[in-house]
Amino acid sequence: MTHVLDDLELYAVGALPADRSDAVAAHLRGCASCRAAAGEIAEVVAALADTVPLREPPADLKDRILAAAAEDVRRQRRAVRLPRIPLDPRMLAMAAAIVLLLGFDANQTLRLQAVQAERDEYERGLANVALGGRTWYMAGVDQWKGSGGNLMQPASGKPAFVVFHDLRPLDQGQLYALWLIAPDGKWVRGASFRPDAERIQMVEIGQELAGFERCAVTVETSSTGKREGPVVMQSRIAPPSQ
Amino acid sequence: MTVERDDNVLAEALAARDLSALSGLYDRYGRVSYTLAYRILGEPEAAEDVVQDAFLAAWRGAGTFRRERGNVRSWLLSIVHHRAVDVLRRRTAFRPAPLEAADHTASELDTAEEAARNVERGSVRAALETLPEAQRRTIELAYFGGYTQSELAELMGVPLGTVKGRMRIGLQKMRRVLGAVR
Repeated sequence: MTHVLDDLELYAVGALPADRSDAVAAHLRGCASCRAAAGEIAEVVAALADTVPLREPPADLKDRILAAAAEDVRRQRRAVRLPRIPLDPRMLAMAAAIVLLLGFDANQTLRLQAVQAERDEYERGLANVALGGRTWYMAGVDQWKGSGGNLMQPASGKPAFVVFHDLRPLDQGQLYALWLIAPDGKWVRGASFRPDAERIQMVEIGQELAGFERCAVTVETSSTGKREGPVVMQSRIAPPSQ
Repeated sequence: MTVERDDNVLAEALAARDLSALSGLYDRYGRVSYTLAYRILGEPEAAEDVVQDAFLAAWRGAGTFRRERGNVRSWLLSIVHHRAVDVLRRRTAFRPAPLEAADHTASELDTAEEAARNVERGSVRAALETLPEAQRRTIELAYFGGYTQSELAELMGVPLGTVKGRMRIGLQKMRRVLGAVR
């Protein structure tokens, strides 16, 4: 085994090229001595943050973080309360989509089916994406309080998608439109869809996230054209992937 | 060390999905996290997004924390740093200058723990200032500016090996100095 001690400082400050950084991370997972050395360097590097004059974050930032975490807990509890149901074709299709998106291996797929707990697996799949990629939570407003969706950008460069929960049913002729909003205020439709009556619904985005700073969901009467309906959920998204 | 022991308790509670642990973690490290993100990105909204993103990642991935890979503070700040640099590298316009003058004035609300922390912050600044200019700049440009090793080599007009050497020696010196004052 070739140790990575020579690279640990550059790794700790994030200055290695991505492929080398990945190789170092992989080595650290299996090498206790390099891991110990990396831990000591990481503590010195973290101390660099102390060289900057302290700034006060906005007063509501903590509340926003705790609210998003609490929503995580609520969703997890709701998932746990769901009855164990036989696999139905729609859920299998959704699980398969997640398998494709996340690159689960065949054994994981088999386990997914074997435990007959597709929704729990699904939650774990989302957690995997959250660790490797980026997620932004859109909370419903007004009558849509209690609805929400996680916009997911997988780390692998696979297409972005949104996992909605508790979407309200719509009247005949209405549909949801998912929008990406550019810094200049331009709204670009990423998807149009009808709620499918499942508690969890995945919607792929036919649009790159690059160049957008917010996302929103509106209720529309047409699957094309400009935004006209009310915003029912939205989130700011950090500068997107290239 | 009390803080470290408390941090480990917080990390265990976090992994057990205890929201009060997340609250405690934010009380302890929210400000330094925001400071770091703001220092790297140079604007408040992006810094807020990064901090929110980082604390939620810590919340969701608390089970991945391993003490042997550094303490809770370095784990959390590495998440903040990684995400902030990630955002920074997607931009082309803003790259922060090397470290600004850093004189923190303790607020009237500083607790005893914060006062101790301020002393430690002063020690860290002093440790960084003991480094030769080239080592200090290399560290600052990489950590706060998000420059990669090859960008640093080009920017400073030195071979890659020199960048690596400056980084290594600089951080080793800081470690010795900090080890002596802690």
